[in-house]
Amino acid sequence: MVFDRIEIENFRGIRHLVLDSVKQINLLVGKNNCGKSSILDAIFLLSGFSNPLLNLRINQFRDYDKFEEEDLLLNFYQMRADNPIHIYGDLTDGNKRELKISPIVSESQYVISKDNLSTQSLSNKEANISRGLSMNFSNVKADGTRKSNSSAIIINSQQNDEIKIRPPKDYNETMTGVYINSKFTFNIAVDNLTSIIQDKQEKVIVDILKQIDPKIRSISVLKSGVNVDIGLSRLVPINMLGDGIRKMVAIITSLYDCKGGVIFIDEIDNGLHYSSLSSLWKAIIKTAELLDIQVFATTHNIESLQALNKVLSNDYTESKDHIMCYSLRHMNTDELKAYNYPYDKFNYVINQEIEIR
Amino acid sequence: MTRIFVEGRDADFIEKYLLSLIGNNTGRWEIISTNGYSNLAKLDQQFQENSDNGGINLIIFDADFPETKGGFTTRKKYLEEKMNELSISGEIFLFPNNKDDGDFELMLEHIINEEHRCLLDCFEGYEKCVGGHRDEQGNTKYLTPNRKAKIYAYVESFKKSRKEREKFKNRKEFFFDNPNYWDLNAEYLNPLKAFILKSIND
Repeated sequence: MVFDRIEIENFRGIRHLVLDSVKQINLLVGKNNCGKSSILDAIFLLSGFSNPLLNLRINQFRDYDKFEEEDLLLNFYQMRADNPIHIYGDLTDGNKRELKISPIVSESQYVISKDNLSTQSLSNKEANISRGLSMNFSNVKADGTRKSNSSAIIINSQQNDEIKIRPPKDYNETMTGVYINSKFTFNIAVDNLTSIIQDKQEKVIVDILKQIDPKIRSISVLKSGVNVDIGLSRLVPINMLGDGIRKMVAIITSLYDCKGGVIFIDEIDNGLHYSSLSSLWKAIIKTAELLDIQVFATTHNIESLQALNKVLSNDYTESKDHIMCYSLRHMNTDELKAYNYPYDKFNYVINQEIEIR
Repeated sequence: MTRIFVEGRDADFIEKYLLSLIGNNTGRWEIISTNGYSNLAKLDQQFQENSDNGGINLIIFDADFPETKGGFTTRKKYLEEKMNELSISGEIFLFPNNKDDGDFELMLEHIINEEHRCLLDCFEGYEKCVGGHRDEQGNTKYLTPNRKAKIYAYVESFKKSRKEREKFKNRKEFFFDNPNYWDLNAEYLNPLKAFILKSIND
């Protein structure tokens, strides 16, 4: 497990939000457009806080591939440059992570080189030609020792909006973070699956898949892709099976790629029949505990919540203390607040049919 | 928004009573069935959320009786202390009338259509008979009074259309909006009326 508290400031529609008592499995529920995915994106940024490219990636998850000058402030609260993004995370080992993202007004050293300086026309605007985002990040040890660093992503408007990355000096990211976007959930990481099979962990996956389709006997990676033995005379490409099987394999293979790290799953139940949801939760809980992975997932599907409640109440009772459900609510003041539902409260509101989504 | 926390079996009554008092619910109130006063601690987030949003919380529970470790004073004190411990706020009303020991069913006995009071009298006669049966030690053999059964018998005794029979059987509908069964203008409801209107009009 990685984080036990998250604080987000000035990120997209979130002016200020605290997630307290973060557990191994964390479920974010709330109405459409309330900010569930933005919270995932913010924690994803924090998990890879030295990597400025993540600023583009989180917008690509939303089918927005552009990264031009006018897009720089998209992720800032009220799109205002004077609202720098702050994301803080308290880690379970007592250390802290801090990230500040600010717009860069000018980075003239990238714009004017010695070669073309003489050809530049004189303009009082030339220092503002290039813009971007800076990522100032710090690791704060439990004893208060702080190690700060920075990186940046720069758009050079003089060179066809070419994007340049200024990586941090002497920093190697140790935290693993994997994001499963609802759009890409059916993409199976073949390399991960191959490693799993090589590590003789195939049985774990097959056992989970059997809960959806008992005919599945084995799974293998061939040149043609991922194939499944369902007892016929030849192997069947996994694409020929249902979306549920593919999504399940995609999620499990991603979990295996994330040992000791954090996984982010947007719209966890998207594309799954309600009868498969219990199997999904069992797979996630089991694998997360086995590989010490922290999970942040979003949903607004009551059947998914009911399935999780059933799994925790009947099958995985020892995992009850490992979940937290955050009900996200926009206040009349435009503030986003998270209300905490640990298992006993979660179980109660689901059984009483009290609305928390 | 007024969020009203009720025991559960009284939820339909509260909804119908509010509709009779105020008219359509245009997002002015929300009723949450709690399944009993002892679940208050599991509802702190629901209270907090409504308060954070400027809403008012109402608690309408049973006072119950001293024999079952309840009673108006005891239950009110318990709820106030619990709310204080949980740092949540809300106004409390305890059935039957926010001053006596009792419960939802006792309140209902006071608001039946007087034309049909004979039904309750008949049931009391039946209970007197049931209470007369003793075991070898001389103790009462069966449970009396059974006020839930009394109200059920009252509603069940009315002749019903096929649709009404289905509603009564499948949805435990007690037809609180039907004046032939209940008098929602009964004086006995005045304390509840004042309690609700104060919050909703605020």
